[in-house]
Amino acid sequence: MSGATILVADDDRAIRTVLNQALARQGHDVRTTGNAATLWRWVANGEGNLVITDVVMPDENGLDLLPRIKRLRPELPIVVMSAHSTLLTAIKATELGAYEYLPKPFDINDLVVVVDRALAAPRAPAAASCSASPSARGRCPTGPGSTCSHRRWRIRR
Amino acid sequence: MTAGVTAGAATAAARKRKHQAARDSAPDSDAIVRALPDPVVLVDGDDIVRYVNPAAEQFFEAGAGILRDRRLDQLVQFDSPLLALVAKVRDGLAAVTEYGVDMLSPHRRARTVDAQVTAIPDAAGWVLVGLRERTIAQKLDRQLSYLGAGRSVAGIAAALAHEVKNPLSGIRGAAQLLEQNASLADRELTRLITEETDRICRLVDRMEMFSNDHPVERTPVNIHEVLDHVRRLVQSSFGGNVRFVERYDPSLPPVFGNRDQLVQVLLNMVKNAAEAMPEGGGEIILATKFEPGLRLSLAGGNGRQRLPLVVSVRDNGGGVPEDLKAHLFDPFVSGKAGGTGLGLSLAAKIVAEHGGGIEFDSEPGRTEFRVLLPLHSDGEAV
Ligand SMILES: Nc1ncnc2c1ncn2[C@@H]1O[C@H](COP(=O)(O)OP(=O)(O)OP(=O)(O)O)[C@@H](O)[C@H]1O
Ligand SMILES: [Mg+2]
Repeated sequence: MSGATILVADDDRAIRTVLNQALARQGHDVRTTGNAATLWRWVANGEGNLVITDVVMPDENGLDLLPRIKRLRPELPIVVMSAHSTLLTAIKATELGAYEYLPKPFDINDLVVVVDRALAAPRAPAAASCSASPSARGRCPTGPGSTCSHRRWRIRR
Repeated sequence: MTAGVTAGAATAAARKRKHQAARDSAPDSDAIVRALPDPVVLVDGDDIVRYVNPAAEQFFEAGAGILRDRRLDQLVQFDSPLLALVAKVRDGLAAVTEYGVDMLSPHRRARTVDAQVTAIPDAAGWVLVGLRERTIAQKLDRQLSYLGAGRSVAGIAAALAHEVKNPLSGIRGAAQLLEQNASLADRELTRLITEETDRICRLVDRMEMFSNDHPVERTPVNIHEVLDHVRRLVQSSFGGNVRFVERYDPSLPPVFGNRDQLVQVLLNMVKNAAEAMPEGGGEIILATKFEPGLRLSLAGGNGRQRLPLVVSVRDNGGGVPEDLKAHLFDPFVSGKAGGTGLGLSLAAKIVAEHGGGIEFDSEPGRTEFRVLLPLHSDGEAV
């Protein structure tokens, strides 16, 4: 689905620029903000088909915003990205209803794939995608993860 | 100093002779002050600067010729706590020290120093001002405590990783976007940017892991499953260049430890082995065995310990460079162009936390790293 409106919240300007360009090239309409309050206003106004949000922002933690967004607009897919490399952040994001967690720095192509998938089936939570390494629950050594990490994992609903 | 405690009588005598020789040509006091790494400023009773050492020239970003004969309050801000310290000493205190004094340099660069002001005996009003600039770690620590992020090394590493990864995301993303329309030649450059940012990212990831002091969960771990996992990971990135041979003792009991950490340890060692392979390919032998007789005394441990579980990684690569051998497990020791030198130090740290140790033998064509671990029964290390 191209031509969707994507709401991006990240307090890092460089990341906003990159997301803006990468998604605009896919034909999406991108709106970016550096704080959680603006993102919340947009969501509350019923804008956007997808949210991509950072965790640590100056005014509010993106994870705290998640349940509120889910309550108001349960159908709106949310992708959480963070520079925190702990598995805990990933688990927490998924528990709170995030469609996908992307550890920074991520590969632009992975991002585009995730966005496409989220827009195509916003309502159908995918089954756990990770079949490799059954002993490592929640770990996925092959999926998109932080581009650099040997701890490549991803949690998907 | 401490070396003297263990040295024998003969070497002590030799050292005494050497000291005697040194005393004959001792440097004068000026040379000593000049050699001090920290800024030193001598101020007379009228607040006029009479002497600065080279470190002070650097600190105040001006030559001694300019600094000398200036008034102290022209070097620092008029409201600097330093002036109050000087006044205190003139009021009769022999010496005062103030920690964490903020100073602005002539170019308005904010710096934090510890300042010590000492009275010069028999010279009315003359004082010696010594400054010591705070290290980056101390400054970072202070900033972190402002943020309430904690003062631990782990806290610093985590905050640093976070701060570094955000700009890295921007750089990496921008490079990838440029790549989409780049010529073949330029694509080589954008690839370079993404690869190098990934390297920085790996480095901060490792630093974070390295300083991680959270307690980890321990369970009985099947070390063969761990080895299998590691082998697959390495095989997928090194491909056919490496042939694996497995020599496992199937009766080996489980290791009591943290699986992910043990994967990390063996991954670092097997990766090193794979990276040491000759061009045409090579062989890595993964082996486990039970050596009930093995007793080792570990640094910091109480007495000799039994470490009967042995996991070894052997390769037929070029061997560990001779000059690295003594410091191989120290952080940042690397013989590789792109190496961070953290792999083995991290492995050593984790294994030590598991109550074990790592040893190695290396010569060209045959290098073996061995992880020795204690036996556990019923959840308790023996
Ligand atoms: N199996 C081996 N054969 C030859 N040299 C080795 C082997 N294992 C380690 N070394 C030497 O020890 C050095 C330190 O290894 P270590 O794993 O700590 O760091 P590194 O591999 O250089 O960097 P990285 O942090 O990416 O692992 C290596 O650079 C290499 O020179
Ligand atoms: Mg290594």
